[in-house]
Amino acid sequence: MKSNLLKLQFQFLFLFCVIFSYAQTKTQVPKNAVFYMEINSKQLNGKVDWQKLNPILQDLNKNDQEKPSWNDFSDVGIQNDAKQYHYAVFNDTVKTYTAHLILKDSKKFLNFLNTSAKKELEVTKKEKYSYVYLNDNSFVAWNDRKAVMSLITYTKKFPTDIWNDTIEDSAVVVIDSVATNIDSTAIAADSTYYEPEKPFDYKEEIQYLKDEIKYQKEDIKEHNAEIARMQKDIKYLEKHHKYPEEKKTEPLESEEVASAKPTEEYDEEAEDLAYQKELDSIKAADFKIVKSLAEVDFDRYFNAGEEIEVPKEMVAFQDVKSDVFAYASYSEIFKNGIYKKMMNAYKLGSFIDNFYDSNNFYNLYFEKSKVKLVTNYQHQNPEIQRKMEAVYKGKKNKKLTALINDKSIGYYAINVDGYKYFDLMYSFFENQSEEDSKYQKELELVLETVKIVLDEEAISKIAPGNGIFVLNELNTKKVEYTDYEYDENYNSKEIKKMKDVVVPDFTFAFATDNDNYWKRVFNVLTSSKELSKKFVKNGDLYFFKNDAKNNTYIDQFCFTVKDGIVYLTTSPANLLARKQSSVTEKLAKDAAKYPVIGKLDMRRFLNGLEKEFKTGTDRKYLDLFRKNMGDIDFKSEPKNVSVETEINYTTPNSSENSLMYFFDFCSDILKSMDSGKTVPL
Amino acid sequence: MKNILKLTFLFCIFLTLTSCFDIIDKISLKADGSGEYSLILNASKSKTRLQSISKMETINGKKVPKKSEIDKKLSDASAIFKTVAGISNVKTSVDWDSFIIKLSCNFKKVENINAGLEQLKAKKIIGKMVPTQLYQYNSGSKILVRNKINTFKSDYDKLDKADKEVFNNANYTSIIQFENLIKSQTNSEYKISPNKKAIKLDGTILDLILQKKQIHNTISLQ
Repeated sequence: MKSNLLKLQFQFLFLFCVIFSYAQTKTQVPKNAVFYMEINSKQLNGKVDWQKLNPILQDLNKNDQEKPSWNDFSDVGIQNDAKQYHYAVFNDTVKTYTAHLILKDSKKFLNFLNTSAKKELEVTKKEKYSYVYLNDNSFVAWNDRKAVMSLITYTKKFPTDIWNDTIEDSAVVVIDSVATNIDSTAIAADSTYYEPEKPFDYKEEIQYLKDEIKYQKEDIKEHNAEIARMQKDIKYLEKHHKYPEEKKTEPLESEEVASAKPTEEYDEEAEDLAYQKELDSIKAADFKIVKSLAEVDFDRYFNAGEEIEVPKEMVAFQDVKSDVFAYASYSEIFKNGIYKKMMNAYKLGSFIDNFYDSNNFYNLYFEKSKVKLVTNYQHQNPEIQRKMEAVYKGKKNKKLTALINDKSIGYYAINVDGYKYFDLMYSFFENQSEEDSKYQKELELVLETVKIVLDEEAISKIAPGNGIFVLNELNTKKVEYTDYEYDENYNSKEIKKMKDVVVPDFTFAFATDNDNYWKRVFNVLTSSKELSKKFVKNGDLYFFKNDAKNNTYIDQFCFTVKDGIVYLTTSPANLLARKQSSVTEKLAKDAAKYPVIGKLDMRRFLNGLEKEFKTGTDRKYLDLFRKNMGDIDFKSEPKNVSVETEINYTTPNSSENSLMYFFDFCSDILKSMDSGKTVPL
Repeated sequence: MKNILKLTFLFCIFLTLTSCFDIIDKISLKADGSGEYSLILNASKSKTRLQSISKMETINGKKVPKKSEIDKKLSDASAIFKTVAGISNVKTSVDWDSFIIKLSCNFKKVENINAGLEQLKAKKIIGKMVPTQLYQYNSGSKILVRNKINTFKSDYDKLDKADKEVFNNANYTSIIQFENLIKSQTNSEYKISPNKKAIKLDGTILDLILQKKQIHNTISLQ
């Protein structure tokens, strides 16, 4: 008795656990998602000033109408402080973008959808949810607590492998991984685009063979007709010793024109109608498939709990403090996804596969006065990742960063290990998988030969991996041009005028361990019979002079090699050491410290471009950008088994935070557009 | 929303530094209907930029034509024009320092120009969209008609952003000079010279593409 009771208790407990676990099933983000994004709405909502944002959104929402269709965008039925999850899944036929939202008022949400669509949307009610379609590709489903938005596009698979050189027989039956699995009455629980593998279907195979017989019969007919024509030709040749004269045809152009003209036999209207009908039927068939796919997704989502389960590898570099986190799988896109066939077409397929076999992670922060984006690049192959990090561990070079001065508009500096770069490139060529090893042995031989021929150490001494590009200034240069003027009787006269064009003043320099090599190169340029017309030596400096008639932006380049640095610049004055303020000194110190670093002072840059913008409208927008554009800086370094890049955009105006800055900028643009088109100078 | 997107790309456009060019067509018409026609493409204002572009293989994803290709096309155009009945003294020139291309010729009837352009179109020297039936002159009634041209708006809309920018600062000038005095004209966009022997239309290429300015005109001469 006791044991029976225990057994019953155990069964009850087991049943409860099963029911409980079923109710708590998490919605899974597909493992093959090429993109995943998590919006930290709680943080972002706190940064949004809806009083400011609403008028902007209303303005955008108006779309040439007098009144906006919605007034308060902070209240559209969505719980503003609940996390949003977005992801995209692509394959050769279906592309899906899905967004998961938490609702606070489902009725208001539907009302918002109807208002936005400007019509009463047709609601399809299902057991656990309702859904509408906004257009042929967009679907929204919801219940009282949550909603899911799906954007699905379906492209029928093409019959031949267009990326292959050999075009296969046109009669090959297309196996559409999606269409064949979609039944109009019942949809398999698992969407085909998550499982492209298709079981063998003997009925389909029978149909394929029947079609093949039909095609072969047609082919026999055509061959017989061709044989008959040839026999006729033989008889004619035997009798007349030449082919029958062909009837003269009209030139191609007139043929094209004639065929485009409506004739008695060609009823354009009927043809158009038939074409439209066919197009409509294709669209209807596609919509049926897309709708079925959406329903499969919705069923899965509404049968699961509210929690979203994300594969661990997708959130490996997520910072919970970021406002938006995103993940993109380049390997999914290039290696296994939509570009797979395209990549296979290249003989260097494994190089491209290896090159893109990586994951990228993005953490976005809207801080008080800057937007910060931290990206982490991680190669899937630990060996390649290790070699990549080794490349990013270059030496410091203070001589190069001394070129950054207080007036510099921007710079881009690299301090990498050039020698290790060869290792990385070789590893991209090395095949990792057995199935793609078609030319592996040949490739290995080529690589080995290249390694013998190339003296990597000697090459890396010519340019070890430290370089810098400094944009010092944007100057103006007077250029003569020809214009036409007219007297009062409109007789034209050619006249010469002058105009200002903006020309960059820059310095490009890189480190070298072999000064003599570069001196020899430069000496060849100045002593060669052909090249010496343009290359001149003056002391230690070499000059390349452009022909003044050529009207190029830059009249001359100056280059030299000095104390382990090769310089290429627009002016010899740039080679002189300039004073660095404490701020510039710190920038220069960082520029030497990080493997990749850069900065652009947008205001100075736009000021330099001023002369290029002469009309009132151009100037008006230039001023608008000058007022609103911030500075950009970035730096990369190996960190946490990844290459981490931090990009900062400093916001210049007085917005509450950097998120509101974008909306304020948007508001300024709208105001500027309303204030009229042309402002006379 | 479209406008916002447009402006979002504005900054990128600033960086591309748009080029500008002028197209000038001129007709000098004598009383008997004969005359002189000239067409000038003047890209001199953008010569610095064009000099840089000419060194590139492609721009905005499109092939940059080589100078030799343009020279050949122009000499082909000249050869074709020379074969058209009523057209004589065909001259073409390209100034690669200033980026100015010129074509001029004499005609017995202004309709010969239409025939010449038609030939250029047939030989694919100019595109299918270029209008060819531009002028008609009746020496009896002394009326010159500058025909209406179709809108290119839909074709323009199909262009991508970067290609559209080419037309942003492009100007068009059309001049018609007469031996006789002008009695009247139907399109007031054309300015009449004080001596009443010439008319001029100034506008941007975009004005013509989007038909903000009409090109057609009927000019009655005394």
